[in-house]
This record gives sequence, structure tokens and C-alpha cells, in this order.
Amino acid sequence: MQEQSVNIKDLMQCLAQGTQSFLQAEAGVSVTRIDCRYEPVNILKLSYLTSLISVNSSINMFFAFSFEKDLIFSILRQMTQGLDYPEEETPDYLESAATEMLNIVVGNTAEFFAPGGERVTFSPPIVIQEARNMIRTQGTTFYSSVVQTSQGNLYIHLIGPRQLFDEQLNYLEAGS
Amino acid sequence: MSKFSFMVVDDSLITQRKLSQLLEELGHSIACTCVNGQQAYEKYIQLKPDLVTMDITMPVMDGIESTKKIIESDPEALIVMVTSHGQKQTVIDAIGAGAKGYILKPFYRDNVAQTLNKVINKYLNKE
Repeated sequence: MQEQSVNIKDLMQCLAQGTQSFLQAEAGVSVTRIDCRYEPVNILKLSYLTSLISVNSSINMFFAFSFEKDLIFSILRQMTQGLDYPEEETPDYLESAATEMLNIVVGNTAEFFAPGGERVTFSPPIVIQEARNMIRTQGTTFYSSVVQTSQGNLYIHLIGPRQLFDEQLNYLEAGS
Repeated sequence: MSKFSFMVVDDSLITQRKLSQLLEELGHSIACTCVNGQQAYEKYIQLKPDLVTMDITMPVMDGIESTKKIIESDPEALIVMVTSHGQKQTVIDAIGAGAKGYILKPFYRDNVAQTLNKVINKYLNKE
């Protein structure tokens, strides 16, 4: 399939707005500032918990939401309101909150990836649990925006193209 | 409204539990929950629930493929998609696979009840 170019500014704004709407309406978290950056960066800093999804259409990219600890716990509390679960299952519910939020925000922007109406598919999201840096390799591009909230920051990362990951979405280290 | 048995298919733990809780609040029962399309197909054959709610993006087998397989084995199966993917083409694919309704995430009590009632009234409460 032929790769189309993507307007990074429009895409980042679209994702940031979707993120803000979700945080305020579904997680009860106030967004205090959105810092959309439209220039590529060389290093992505991943926070406490990161969810990652690939979007496949004429545009093939990865999207990551990287959550600071207080923020993802705050989102979890709101998303699980009225649900009882044992404390030892908290990590499973945290992962579920992080992946479902990413799934909903990116999923609801699907039309953006298919201006001509072509089919868009998404991978099931995965989670990276450790804070780490991802270093840009030749042929890849990173973009990053910051959504500041009353409960901590959420970093929105765009990673393209997909060659930085294997088929199970495992991150391939620079040079490997 | 009559009580019906549901199978909830979603790889998201939170969505699976919230949707199950909502269906129970609406007076229905949960026959089982599944985390992927293959499991849903196997469980459907075994349990034959009245209705299925089906996510689309799942590991192992996605919801569109699972819907096709369930409908192949039981053309009367009632499947409603519950997904975050609102793209027109995806909706067309889901309906083409045999889904009877479509609910966009994040879902709310009213729109879930409304969509399910339409399907129930059309296919299960015919008399």
C-alpha cells in the first residue's frame, strides 16, 4: 500500500483534543495546558506506564500514551467507579485503563487516517511498564506532545514508520 | 422487558466488567465473558446466549472475523458491536459480517439500552 503523507500538526491537535475530552468527561481530570510540538525529536521519554497501538491504513504509525503515576491511578479510580476488585489485581486494571483510553481516543480519530474512506485497522494495544528512553534510529521519526493535568502529565508520542517494533509490538533497541 | 442472556466479548478488563454490570442493571444475565474472537466463537457454540456484545480489535481473532464465524454457524445469532472505532468503513464491515447493531465507546447506559432494545424488540420480542 502506498504511504501517504500526514499533516503532523493537524494529527497532534486532533489527538490532544480527543485526549482532553476523554480526560475531562470520562476520567474527571482537568487539563491545565496542552503543549503540542510539531518538530521531530530524537528521544522519547516513557513515564510510569505507557500504552502503545499501531494504526494501519495508507498511513502506518504507532501511537503511545505515556502516563505519570498519579495520573494513571486517578484515571483508574474514575474508570472503575462502582467496580469491586481485589487489590492484587490493581496492575491488571491499571493496564486496562491505559490501553482502553488509548484505544478510545485513537479509535475515535479513525476518520483522520482515512480521508479517502480507506479501511483503517488498529492493533490490540500493549503496555510498557517501565520508565525508559526510546532512541530514534535511522529512518524513524518521533513526535511528542504533553498534556498537563491537575493529576500529572500525559505524553502523546507518534512513532513512524513501524519498523521500530517487531510483530508483537516489542521495541527493537537502536542498532539491533 | 424480558431478561436475556448475554455474552460479553472484549479484551479490556474494565470494559468487560462495566458492560456486564450495566447489562445486569438492565435486568439481563451474563452467560459468559470472552477476551478474544476465537474464544467467543467456541463459547457461543457451547452456550448459545440470546445476544452477544462484540469488541472489534482483539488479539488472536478480531470481532469482525468472529462475528462472521458465529453467523456462519448460527444465522440467527444476535451480535451488537461495542467498539471505539467509529470509521464508516468499519461499521460497514461489521454490518456486512452480520452484526445487528453498533455502539461506539465510550458507551453510556442510555445509548446501550436504546441500541439493545431496538435489537431485542426487532428479533426477540416479535409477538
